[in-house]
Amino acid sequence: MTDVKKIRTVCNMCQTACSGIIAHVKDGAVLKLSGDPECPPSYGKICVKGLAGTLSPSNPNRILKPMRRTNPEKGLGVDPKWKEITWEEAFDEIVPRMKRIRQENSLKLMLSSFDYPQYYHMIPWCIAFGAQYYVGAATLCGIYHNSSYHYYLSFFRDPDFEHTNYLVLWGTQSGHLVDALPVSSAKKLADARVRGAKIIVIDPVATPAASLADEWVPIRPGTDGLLALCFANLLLNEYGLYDHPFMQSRTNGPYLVRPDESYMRDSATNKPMVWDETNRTAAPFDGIPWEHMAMEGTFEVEGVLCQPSFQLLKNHLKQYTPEETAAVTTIPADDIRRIAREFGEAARIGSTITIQGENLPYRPAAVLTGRGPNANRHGMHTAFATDMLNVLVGNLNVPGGILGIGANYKHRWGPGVDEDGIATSPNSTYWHFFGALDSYPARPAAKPFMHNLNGLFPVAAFTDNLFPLTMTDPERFGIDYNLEFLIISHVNPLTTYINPTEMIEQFKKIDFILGFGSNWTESLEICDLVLPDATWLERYDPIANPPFKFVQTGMGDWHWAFRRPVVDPPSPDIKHWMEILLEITERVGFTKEYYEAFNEHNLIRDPHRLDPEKKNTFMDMCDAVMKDRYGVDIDWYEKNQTNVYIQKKSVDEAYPGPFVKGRYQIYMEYWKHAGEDVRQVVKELGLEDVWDLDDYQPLLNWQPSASLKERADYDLFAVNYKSCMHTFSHTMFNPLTLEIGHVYPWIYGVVVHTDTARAKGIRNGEEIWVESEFGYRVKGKAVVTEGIHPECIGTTGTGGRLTFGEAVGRRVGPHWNTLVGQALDRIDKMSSSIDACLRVKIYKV
Amino acid sequence: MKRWGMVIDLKRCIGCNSCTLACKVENGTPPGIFYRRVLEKTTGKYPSVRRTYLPVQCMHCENPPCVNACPSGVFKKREDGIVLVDSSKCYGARACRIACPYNAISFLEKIGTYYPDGITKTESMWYENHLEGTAEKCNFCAERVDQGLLPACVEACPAEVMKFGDLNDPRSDVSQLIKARDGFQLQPELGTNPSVYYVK
Amino acid sequence: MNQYLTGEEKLSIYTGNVPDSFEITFIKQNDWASRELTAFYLGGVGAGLYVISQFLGFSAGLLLGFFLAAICKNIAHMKSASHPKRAFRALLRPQASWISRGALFVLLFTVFGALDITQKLGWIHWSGFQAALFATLAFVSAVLVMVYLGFLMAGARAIPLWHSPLTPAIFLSYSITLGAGATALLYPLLGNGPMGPLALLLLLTTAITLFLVVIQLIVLNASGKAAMHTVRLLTRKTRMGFFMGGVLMVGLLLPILMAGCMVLSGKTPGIAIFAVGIFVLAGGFFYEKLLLQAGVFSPLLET
Ligand SMILES: Nc1nc2c(c(=O)[nH]1)N[C@H]1C(S)=C(S)[C@@H](COP(=O)(O)OP(=O)(O)OC[C@H]3O[C@@H](n4cnc5c(=O)[nH]c(N)nc54)[C@H](O)[C@@H]3O)O[C@H]1N2
Ligand SMILES: Nc1nc2c(c(=O)[nH]1)N[C@H]1C(S)=C(S)[C@@H](COP(=O)(O)OP(=O)(O)OC[C@H]3O[C@@H](n4cnc5c(=O)[nH]c(N)nc54)[C@H](O)[C@@H]3O)O[C@H]1N2
Ligand code: SF4
Ligand code: SF4
Ligand code: SF4
Ligand code: SF4
Ligand code: SF4
Ligand SMILES: [Mo]
Repeated sequence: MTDVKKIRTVCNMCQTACSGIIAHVKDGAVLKLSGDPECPPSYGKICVKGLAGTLSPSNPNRILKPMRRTNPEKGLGVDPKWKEITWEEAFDEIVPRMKRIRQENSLKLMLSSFDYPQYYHMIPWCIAFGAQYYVGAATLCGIYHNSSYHYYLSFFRDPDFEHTNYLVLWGTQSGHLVDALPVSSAKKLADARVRGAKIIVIDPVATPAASLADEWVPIRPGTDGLLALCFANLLLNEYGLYDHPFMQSRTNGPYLVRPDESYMRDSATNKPMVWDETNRTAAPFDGIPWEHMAMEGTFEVEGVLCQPSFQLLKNHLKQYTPEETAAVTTIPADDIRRIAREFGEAARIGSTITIQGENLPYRPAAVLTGRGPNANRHGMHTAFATDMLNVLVGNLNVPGGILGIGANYKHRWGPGVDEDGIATSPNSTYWHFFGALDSYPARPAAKPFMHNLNGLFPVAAFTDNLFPLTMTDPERFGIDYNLEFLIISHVNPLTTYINPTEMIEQFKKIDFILGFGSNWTESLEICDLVLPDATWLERYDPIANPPFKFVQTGMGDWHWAFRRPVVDPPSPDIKHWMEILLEITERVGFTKEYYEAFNEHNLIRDPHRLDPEKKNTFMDMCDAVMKDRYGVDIDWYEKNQTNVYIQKKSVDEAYPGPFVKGRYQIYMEYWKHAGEDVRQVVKELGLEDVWDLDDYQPLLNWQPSASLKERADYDLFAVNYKSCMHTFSHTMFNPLTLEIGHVYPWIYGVVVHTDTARAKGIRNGEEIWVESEFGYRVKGKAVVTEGIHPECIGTTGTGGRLTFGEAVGRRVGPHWNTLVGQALDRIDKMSSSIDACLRVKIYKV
Repeated sequence: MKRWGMVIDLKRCIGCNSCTLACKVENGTPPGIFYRRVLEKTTGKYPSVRRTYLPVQCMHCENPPCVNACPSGVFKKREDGIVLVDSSKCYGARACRIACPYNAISFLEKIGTYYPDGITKTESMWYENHLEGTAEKCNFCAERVDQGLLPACVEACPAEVMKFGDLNDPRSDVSQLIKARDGFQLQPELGTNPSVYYVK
Repeated sequence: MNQYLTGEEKLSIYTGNVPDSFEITFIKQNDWASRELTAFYLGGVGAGLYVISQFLGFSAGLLLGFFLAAICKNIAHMKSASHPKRAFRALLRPQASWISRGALFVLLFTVFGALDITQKLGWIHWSGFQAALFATLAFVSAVLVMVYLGFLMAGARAIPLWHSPLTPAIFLSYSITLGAGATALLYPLLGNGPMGPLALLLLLTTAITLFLVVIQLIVLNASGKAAMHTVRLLTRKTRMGFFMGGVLMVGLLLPILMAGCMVLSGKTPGIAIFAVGIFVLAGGFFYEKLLLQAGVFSPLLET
């Protein structure tokens, strides 16, 4: 077919942009999409969601013009009675409001989006305006809040699929078309499986990942922290399976700790001290060779009895016995012992491997945790406890272990070392691109001035998800203004966060909500004004995969993806929303500040910095970043008609572990100080009664969250998990994915264990109600199976769409988030993570 | 003579249905028509629960019962083993669907649309080649294969579950894999001798 | 209480034949349903009635049998064809396809049955040889119409219930039984003919059919998982009533008993014959219906 044009671009049906694709275009419409065989890391492969994107641009319900609501009543599924308006009318609504707010108090404006390639622009835009930002993802996305691998590795992480022999997928479906780089990980994990790697999945649900693994370890939700600590206890105290040299040389294990839980510091230099076993004296940590540092024992220094933090950890962990852990997690003690031993042995501690002439530590065992265990009331401790297992076997950023994504690209953003010798967050500058904050060193606690309350969370990376909670009563948190202007784009908070009616209550308080969208969603339907946006097949996203999240790990090349439009949007009014935002910026009159912030934020160096006095387009801005960062520009991609720029990786970029300096913390001394800091602020605010600070302890521990208390009335947990066929609510509006989803009962049903169903007289296929402790309920078809923990019911993804203007997906599947209520005591006061561990009961309709 | 064949590695398959949709998009099949399907079965008692995913499609049988069952001569086996279907000859007896042991033949009763609000431009291009009231099935992507490309499902599969090649060539990937990992066919006792093999 | 999200509405995009389940399990055939059942059943009754009427010299039976097997059957088949204009293609591949053969047999029956009837009813006077030839050919083609279905269904290799050498025999036997049943219905109504031989005929045909059907089940039950599942499908749950009650008890055993009594006692009350006719026809209908409904494909993989 000669009349079919083939255009290369990059997928965006989920945010990972993991697959280069070829669009086959005929008569101005997409005929089909297929994988681009030449584009790493997917090499011709493409997933079910990406393929479903074929129909996205031609959705008959596209938003074509600026629309203003005429129905003042805002509600779920309520017709906003849209009226088409002109662009000038639209700007007249937006610009004067923005001008006023910018003068009065710019923080009254908030921008929220989960549109990855746009973070380069959005964050500096907010900075230039002085606005608040809310990363759309940071709602129930447990993995954003808990800074453990942000700290240990990078913004995102993957196991070294190519080398690992023992992989524990802990509440994540990585390798099964979920999680980072879904397509290439699926291949790598399949290779590993065929190679004979052992895969263990710890998950309350026999997800595809779990039921295809060598072993499914069903766990009672919310008890993962305890299990991790028990594993650690076994590795350290029972089996001695840990990387002793690594502990000595690359962790704060040798640092001496005083009885008051602080480091013993050198009075002259203020440096943390260690015990020199050769000379039997204390010394600053950088004063002696690491081999001489004592790891165990009690030592008297300047009259104070101190212990190396490693010794403290060891002693502390002894309380987490397999037997007690078994009783809480419901995992048999023998299995706990066996898995700990298998993991420790598989790590081949002490072994090395030669890659491209470099001799590197080889630790082919890894624990990978995801959203499941971390979206928890004590998520911070849980996340660090699970990740500490990797630290104990010394597998950070080495072959076979756990790798930070993009952590060491051109050594530009590699981890630093502070004066205490501690590794600072490996990419402490570059993940700012995403609006995240450093989690180490701790920031000073302060009275909150933004709705994300981040002053109360000095060691968390993201706290944006708190804004609906703050809005219930800003003054309570010391915030003396209300949000007046909200911009949302490419995010659907009404469906991906908590109960939508509770959300709407808060959203109603906002004077003006501006939405950008290509098709109707629940959240757009509570906007006051909606502007049409291009779909990913109609626009340029020159920097399609951000380096901190969606690049492959291991020796595979760096791949910098480029998205270009393949069809025209269905209306000339449709433009890239960033271009509209730029236009608004011009009219409001802060382009200069915007360009300057853009230069700063993206660390653009001369001569590529934007000239703030000139007019720079969206494409000029992208060009500046690309030239500075990668050394290519948009013209290069266009001239070559390619969708990817490939750069070779060096061994130390791929496996930075042994090449970077700095000690990782197994003893979180800084948490203790941060906690004390927060206590002051909490006192000032008069929040002592509701803001418990128990988690700010230097040794990792486990506490049951409120929902773990046994309850006769709400006897089950509602667990939610992603499906490889869906991207949150986005693909619920796509009939191709929905059609396939329908053939598997569990995808839009409520999964119930056989015994539980029998006890309640529920039969397979029957309609049941799921009612949560918050008093909300949703309906679904029971899918009775052995594949779920008997104390749990399971639902997939973000079902149950309720959009007025879009029939596709409406009411398909139960909407799990409806069950979740907003409550201060369900939020982790360290990470801001919201507890997804939810008590429910079920009964027949 | 070549005999095109496929090996499906069940150890690699994660049941994601990317193949299903790759096939749909390649062939532009209307709603409800799947040339390729990924079957699923959960077995075992808690907590030893196992899931099997079984992708199926036309097996391109060496002795294809569909060919003989159809009174109308709709199915033809090419020399290279690909069983083709010419829907324009079909009048709807459905004997083929009864005869095919692998439920590989779809019967397109009516061409629907994916969006309730009507047909999209993409779909109107897709459905041009489909006739209401006729039988259809996987044609092993004969057009692609003749151009030296892999079938769409094989190319798309994220987990690289499939190998495609010449079963008559003992050195081909497919033959090697069948040999190395005891490839088997579905329902071999029926004597159809499928060109699609599986390894566990 | 929040009740607005119910998960009730489904996408209404299914227009094709997506199997209900993508599970690796027994898949029910759903291609042959009421239209095919009508065609198969009427064809069987008609051909059976025709053949028996030939022997009994029962003109009304000949006419009705012809009407059912030649006219009604064809209409039903045409109704089920999605492209009736192309339906002539059914005749094209008798060398391979049992559908083609069946279509040819029906065509032959239509031609020779018509010729046979014209002469039996005295509308046209053919020579003795011609008359004998037409009668024989009509008979042969009627028998072929009865058995071809059996061969067609036996060709479904993956449907254990059908894929059996017994299937053609059962179809032959059942068609004749149904023919006898139809005769039993018509005789009392039209008030003619000898009831004695008819009772005997009913006894014999129902007994043979019962024997074959039972053997079919026994053989099936002994031949593999899928086949056993089929038997279970037929003999358990909701279908059991129809199969055990409808087909076996009312459709075969009761007629055998009644016909047996009649033969033994030599008394053949019209009303009893009529009742037997009803029972046999109903039983045969249920049998064929169940045969289609319980036509399940074996699972593609043992798990
Ligand atoms: N297909 C697809 N891929 C995606 C996305 C998508 O929407 N669709 N989104 C991307 C994004 S933003 C993210 S954050 C990642 C997330 O990737 P993952 O973290 O892998 O995603 P989930 O399926 O949400 O993982 C949650 C798992 O934890 C289990 N779980 C729930 N509660 C508990 C518990 O208490 N303990 C334990 N041990 N397990 C529990 C659930 O059953 C589920 O299997 O995926 C990315 N990739
Ligand atoms: N039940 C449940 N809830 C969850 C999760 C879960 O697994 N289960 N996961 C949590 C996690 S990990 C995350 S990261 C969050 C994510 O939460 P969200 O970021 O809210 O995710 P989506 O629902 O996909 O919202 C993206 C929206 O963008 C719209 N969109 C698509 N293309 C375009 C475009 O081109 N332009 C514009 N303007 N809009 C577009 C889509 O229609 C969609 O409504 O959800 C969290 N909530
Ligand atoms: S995983 Fe996401 S980016 Fe990759 S092909 Fe699928 S939808 Fe596209
Ligand atoms: S695309 Fe591959 S992994 Fe996914 S279901 Fe198909 S064969 Fe299995
Ligand atoms: S699988 Fe079915 S349709 Fe395909 S060749 Fe074999 S019998 Fe024919
Ligand atoms: S449905 Fe079509 S292809 Fe199938 S047997 Fe009938 S005529 Fe042949
Ligand atoms: S070979 Fe082609 S037609 Fe057949 S299932 Fe695969 S993609 Fe579909
Ligand atoms: Mo996420």
